[in-house]
Amino acid sequence: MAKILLVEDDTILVEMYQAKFEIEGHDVHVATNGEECLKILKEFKPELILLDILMPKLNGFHVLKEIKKQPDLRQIPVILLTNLGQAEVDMNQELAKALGVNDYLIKSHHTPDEVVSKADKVLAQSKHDTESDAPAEA
Amino acid sequence: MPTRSSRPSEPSQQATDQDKLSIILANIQDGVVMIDRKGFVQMANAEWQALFETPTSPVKHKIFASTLRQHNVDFDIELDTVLESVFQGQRAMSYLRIADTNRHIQVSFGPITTGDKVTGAVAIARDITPLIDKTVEANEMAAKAQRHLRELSQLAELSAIVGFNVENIYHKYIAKVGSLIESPSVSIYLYDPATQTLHRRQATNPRAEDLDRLELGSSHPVAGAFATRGAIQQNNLPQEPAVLALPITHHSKALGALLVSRPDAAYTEHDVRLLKLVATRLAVLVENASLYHDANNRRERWEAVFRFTEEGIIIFDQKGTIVGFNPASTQITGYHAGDAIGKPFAKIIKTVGPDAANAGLLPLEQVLRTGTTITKSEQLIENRTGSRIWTEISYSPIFDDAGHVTSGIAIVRNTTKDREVEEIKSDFISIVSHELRTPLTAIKGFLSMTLKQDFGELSAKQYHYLSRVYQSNQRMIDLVEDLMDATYIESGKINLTIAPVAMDAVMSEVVAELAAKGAANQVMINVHRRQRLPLVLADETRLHQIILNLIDNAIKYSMAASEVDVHFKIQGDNLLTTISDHGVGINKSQLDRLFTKFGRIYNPLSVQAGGTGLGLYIVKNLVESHGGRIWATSVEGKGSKFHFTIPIAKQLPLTL
Repeated sequence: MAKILLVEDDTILVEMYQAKFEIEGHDVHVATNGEECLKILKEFKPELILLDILMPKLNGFHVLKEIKKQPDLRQIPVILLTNLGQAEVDMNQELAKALGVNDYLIKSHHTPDEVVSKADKVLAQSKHDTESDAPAEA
Repeated sequence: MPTRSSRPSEPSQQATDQDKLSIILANIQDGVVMIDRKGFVQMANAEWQALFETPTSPVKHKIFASTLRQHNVDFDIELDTVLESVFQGQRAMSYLRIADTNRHIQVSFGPITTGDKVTGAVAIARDITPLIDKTVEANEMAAKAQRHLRELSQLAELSAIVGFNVENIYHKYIAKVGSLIESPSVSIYLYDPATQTLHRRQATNPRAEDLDRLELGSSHPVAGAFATRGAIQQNNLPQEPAVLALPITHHSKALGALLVSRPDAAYTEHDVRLLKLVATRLAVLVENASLYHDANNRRERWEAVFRFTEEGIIIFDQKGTIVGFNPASTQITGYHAGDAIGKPFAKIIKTVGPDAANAGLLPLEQVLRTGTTITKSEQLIENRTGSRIWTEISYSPIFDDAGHVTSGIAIVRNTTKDREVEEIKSDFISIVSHELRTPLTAIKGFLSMTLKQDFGELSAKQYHYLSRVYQSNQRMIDLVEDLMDATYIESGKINLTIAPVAMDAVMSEVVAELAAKGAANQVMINVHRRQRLPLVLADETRLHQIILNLIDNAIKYSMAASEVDVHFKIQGDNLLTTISDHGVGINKSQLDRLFTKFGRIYNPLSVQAGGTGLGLYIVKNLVESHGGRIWATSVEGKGSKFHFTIPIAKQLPLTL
């Protein structure tokens, strides 16, 4: 069970991912645009952010840049979710990597099941990193 | 001499003189006759006899005048008058023509005197026929020469006819030919390809049968001359005028025919030769005029293109100075032709961008120095007012006959609008597909959860039919994906991140991904690797897509319970991958269409195979953007092989 922030403007997709993650036992908070996401992050610190790219107000990349600027948020792993085409994803890949994204998924390519297993993988990795980093930080 | 010989005072000498005289008379080439005072022939030498004697009537002792008259002789002076004057002691000369033998004789008469008394006459005849013949011949030659001179001067006048106004040329020719060939009726016919007839272009006094248009197969001499490329004559004088037709040919190409006709005399070989000269000269003029008109038409067409095309046409000389600038160039650059001509190309086509200083000069120099053509180089230029315009410029050299570059031409197209349209198109596609994908994702997601029975148990039927919905939805997702890929490929926006990639790993991933599908179709995937495969230079995602697509196809088109084999081979700098199936195969004629957009072929298995018809088109484009090649071979009924190459990474990546 992990705390997850789902940032997605399409309410039906929100409902879908939320249902699946909750079935899998996760605690899902939802933001429906970039601004709302940053606002929630002021009080709520998730263990994973699922971040859509194309959203009203602030888009995913802007949000991502903001998050990476803030020391208390920068460590939170981010999975980018998008329905941009593969070619656009290819084009944005470098930027995403540079911004420290943990995974970059095309929504229509994956079932919610697969998204959950990707999320679990990232969570496990992040947990592992945090634990091995802990002595160094201390 | 006769006076001396007739002297009786020296008898001893007389005999000798007599002998001498006999020798002279016997050997002289002239005919000699002596006549007594009464007009009888006393003596005639052999030559005289040969001229005037007939076997039946010897001349000796005959009256001289009658011996001549029996030969039907014409005298220029009356013979009696001549003799009379001779007997009075005069000398005389007369010409006569023997009509029977057609000989011309010059006769000199002299008196024979004894003391003061004329006792007879001597006549010496010289055959001057050869001389007369020569004179006649000379006269004829002079007349002929005169005629030739006249013909030559007329031919010279014909040759002097020049110009490009054909009607004018024909008009002058008709007049000259009429007098040269002495024919009142002259016509010029030219072949008209449009109607495939011989068309009378110009004529004087044409005959009734010299129609305006003559069919090629007609019996008219013009049609005959045109068809046979030779002279045709008609000579039914005096009932009909004589006719001569000659083809007008240029380099063995028949252009038409010349026709002359006259009522009074048949045409001679000489006339034919003359008319041939005329026809040859006329052919050159006709051909030149036609070339001139063609050139003129071409020039006019070119000028129309130059003036009215929407593409800027700029012509520059060897130094890159503008010498031609069309109105469209003004539209694009803002400079008027007057401002641009004489300026360096780079001053008018001001390129902007990283290489702004050189960009305008480089392609130009390349074209002028190497004679190469540069097509559609994209250049951002700055117009006269400083606005930036996207253009596509093609440069082409212009060569002289010796193959040297003398100048060049640049075609400038304003692509700003194209770019806008292209952007709108790709924006539209990506927005639409994004908008399509969101609901498709929702359908896929909820269905997958339902099928996983996250929301409760399903009956077997519910499960089956919802699976069908799921598959159909997946096809829609694939179609949207392919459409987007194709759009990106076409707009050149495919962005490859090329790096050394382990083919082994990609292959294993794909096989793992498709193993379930293979099993469902009872198709086994065998990857044959003898050793570790080299790293290839590829975009990993795209390489995955290429292999996935090809193996997926192989499974789809395989017979049940067969195998799909993957083989590798190193070919120089490339890794060749071959994917073989044991399916229905592909018809030879359909192999070419295989990689085209929506080039999916009819195939008994394709109905159940599904697909968008874009897969191989995308794969081909992806392989080629990697610098590889893809092709297919097939044996119908046995199966197909798809081969593709990907460059091998030459240097191993740094190992950590």
